[in-house]
Amino acid sequence: MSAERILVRGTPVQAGVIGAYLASRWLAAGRALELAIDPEDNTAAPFVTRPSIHRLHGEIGLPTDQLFARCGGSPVLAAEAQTADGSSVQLPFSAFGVPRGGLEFHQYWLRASRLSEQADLTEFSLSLALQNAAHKPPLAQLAQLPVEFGIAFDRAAYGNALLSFAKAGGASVVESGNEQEQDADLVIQCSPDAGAPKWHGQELTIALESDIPGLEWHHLSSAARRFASLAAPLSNCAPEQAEWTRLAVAENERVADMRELLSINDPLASSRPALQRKAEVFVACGRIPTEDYEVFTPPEWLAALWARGVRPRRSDRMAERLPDAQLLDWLDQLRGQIASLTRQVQAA
Amino acid sequence: MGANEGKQAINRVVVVGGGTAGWMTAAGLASMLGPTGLEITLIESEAIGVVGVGEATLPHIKNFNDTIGVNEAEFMAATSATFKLGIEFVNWGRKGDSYIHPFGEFGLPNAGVAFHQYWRKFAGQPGVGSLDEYSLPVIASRLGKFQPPSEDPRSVMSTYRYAYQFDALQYAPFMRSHAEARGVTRMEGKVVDVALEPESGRVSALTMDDGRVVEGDLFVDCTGFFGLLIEKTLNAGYDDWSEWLPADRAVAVPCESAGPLLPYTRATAHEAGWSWRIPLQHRTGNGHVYSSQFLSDDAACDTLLEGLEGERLADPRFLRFVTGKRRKLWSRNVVAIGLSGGFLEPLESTSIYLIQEGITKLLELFPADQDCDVEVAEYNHWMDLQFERVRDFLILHYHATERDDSDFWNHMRTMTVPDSLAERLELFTAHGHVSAYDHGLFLVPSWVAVLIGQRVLPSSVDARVSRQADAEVLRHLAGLKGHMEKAAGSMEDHAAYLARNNMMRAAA
Repeated sequence: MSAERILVRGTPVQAGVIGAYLASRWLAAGRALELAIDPEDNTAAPFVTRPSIHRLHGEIGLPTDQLFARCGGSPVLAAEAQTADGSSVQLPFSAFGVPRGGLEFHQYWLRASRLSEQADLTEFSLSLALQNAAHKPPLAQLAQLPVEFGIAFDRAAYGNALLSFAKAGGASVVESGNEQEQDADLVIQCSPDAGAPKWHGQELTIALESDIPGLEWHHLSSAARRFASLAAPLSNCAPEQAEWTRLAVAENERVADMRELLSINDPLASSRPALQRKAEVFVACGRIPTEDYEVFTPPEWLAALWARGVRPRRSDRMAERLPDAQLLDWLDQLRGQIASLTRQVQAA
Repeated sequence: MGANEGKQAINRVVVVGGGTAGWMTAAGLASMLGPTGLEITLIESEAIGVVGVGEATLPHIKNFNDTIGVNEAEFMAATSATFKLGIEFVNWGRKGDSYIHPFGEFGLPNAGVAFHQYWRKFAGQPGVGSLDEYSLPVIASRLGKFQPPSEDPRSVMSTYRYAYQFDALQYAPFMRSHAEARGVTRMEGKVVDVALEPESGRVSALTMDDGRVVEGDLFVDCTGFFGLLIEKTLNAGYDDWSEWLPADRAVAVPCESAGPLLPYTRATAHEAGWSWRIPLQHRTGNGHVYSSQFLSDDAACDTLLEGLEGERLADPRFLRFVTGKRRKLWSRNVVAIGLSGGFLEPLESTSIYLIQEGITKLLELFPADQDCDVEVAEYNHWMDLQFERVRDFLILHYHATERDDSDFWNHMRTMTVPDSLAERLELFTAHGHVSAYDHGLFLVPSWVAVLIGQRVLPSSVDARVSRQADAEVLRHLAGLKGHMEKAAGSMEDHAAYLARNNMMRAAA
């Protein structure tokens, strides 16, 4: 009989992500992992992952290229979210333009746009150019480009592949209703209805959100990785429970900031302190301050602020180190390079 | 029309005070913003001594020097500098203990599990040794070796960084020449009057002792503990942290070098404080930080002098301070950088780091005009966080001790620590997990170094350690230790490295 037993409840892809990670990083002699699958996953949308998928696959030895081919993979270079006015915004995973002299590109763009009319900032994003191209480049080619990308999988196929991986790693997989809950030392519940993530007593709840593509993946993978990194005997882990909950709640706060930015009519009027800080500093000087445990990257915050009409009132003084003519030439070249690279990738 | 047209643009910065903080600030601003037309003036008086803070540094200073274009060999020679791979702590957990907080990793993680977890499981078994023996910078420090780290992440030689130990009294002049070459104007004299704008309360001009008036748009207060602008003029207020860090005095004295040139700083705990020893090319810097509640000045001085390893080179110099920080490090149009902004004892060589962080943040948020309340608030928010996180790490050194040989240590060991630190200790003592943050100076290996170095051992280990067979782990530990020893042994003698690379200061 196992000394410790974890039961994971969720749809195939939810239990699959948790199960694959824990089978690889937690399961051992004297431990059991059971995945109770709710087969009723009616979500038609693909399962979108963020760029952290490459690290996670690498950690547990999952072959990304094979899964990409087997599970209907498609590269994702930006997540698309809805805003308050019903329009959509693309949140790119990689920076706009390229930084120069330690300064982010958009500061140069801001300065250049005061000198002469410039194409919109979004035109300087290789991520967005590739995301919006008719054909996405193959995986091997993308890996050579200076862009971060996640992968959108067919939900059912990816879920089943992860379940198979977990099973091969020693987990047992049963249909929901057939699990043995009474013996579990810990039940990990993947729930879209939970208000907040929490690990308390014998239950760990992952609060799933899916309104922004990639979030569901983030919550699942982050929960599993964090649980493993705080590994302790399940009968004696109160400090680890508190730490897991603290970090998961902190991340959820950052997600709530982004959600409010996208949904509120006036982002500068937000009552969320961290969002207010971001918006105010961005307006004041074009910088985007970050908190501990951010989920979204600075380019995603920049894209979201930009899409909501929040604009800096000035550029960073350090951008003035570049002479006007040189600055304008550089921007022209950069835009040309992005267009050329996108064409090359399309033609390949 | 520019966004700041019609408002008072910021084009003139006046730095008051010319020690380490003053000249670092002037050099940083001149290098990064001088080309944009920013005028920088620094006022200092040869009649006012400098504290000469921060002879020992952290690896971040290399980034600062690189960013402003400092040549390392020239800098080393000009400031009689030595390399630094960590800090040795003696007598902290118990009398007779010694460990090094290195600028680098311990061992290598395995299957996502931190190395110290494996070490903890087998600590005490024959041949396993101390955690120090699995850190390349620690082994190199003990051997007196140095070599710059490799850029190849696969190499064990890439598992550390380095900092410098330099003569602060030579560093300020070095930074001065760097700053003046980039257009900074130096004015000799004392400030005798500060004029404020009647409505805004901002500083508008300074009057010097010879009658000259210096106007500016933004003022940087580098006047040390005195805080001429930030406190004496603007009354920014001060958060006193002596509740947790009661040391309030220091006595310093240089002595002749004795023995080999060691690439690390030493901090030795005493009856009511601790003493530093910083080996430079031409001398050794020494000082004793103590709490006047628990120790007299005379006794503190005696302890310091008794511990000198070479002939004393000057009379002991006393300093008084209150640990803490200004409530607002940026108030109106005055930014306090250096000791004028706050003081945390130099136990972890954080003084120059905090100066550097203040300069970097000022550059990032440099305002276009006087309408900059948001930039000011952001600067203060960021610096508060930096100070508080350094504070917690310093408190750990005093609190995580078994010493009960004096009233001072009994007080420190049993005091109530900030919640943020108490939670960290609870998490670590359970199963060796370390709470990490994104925005703070000290990363996981630093917390591990001090916790384990001071005998805070987890009662159990990460549950994943048992996934690997004991014999396999022990083989891995032995192999790694041998690999580290060999790598450290292949490094060059520290003094020989300095000489071979023309980093030694020419004899006067």
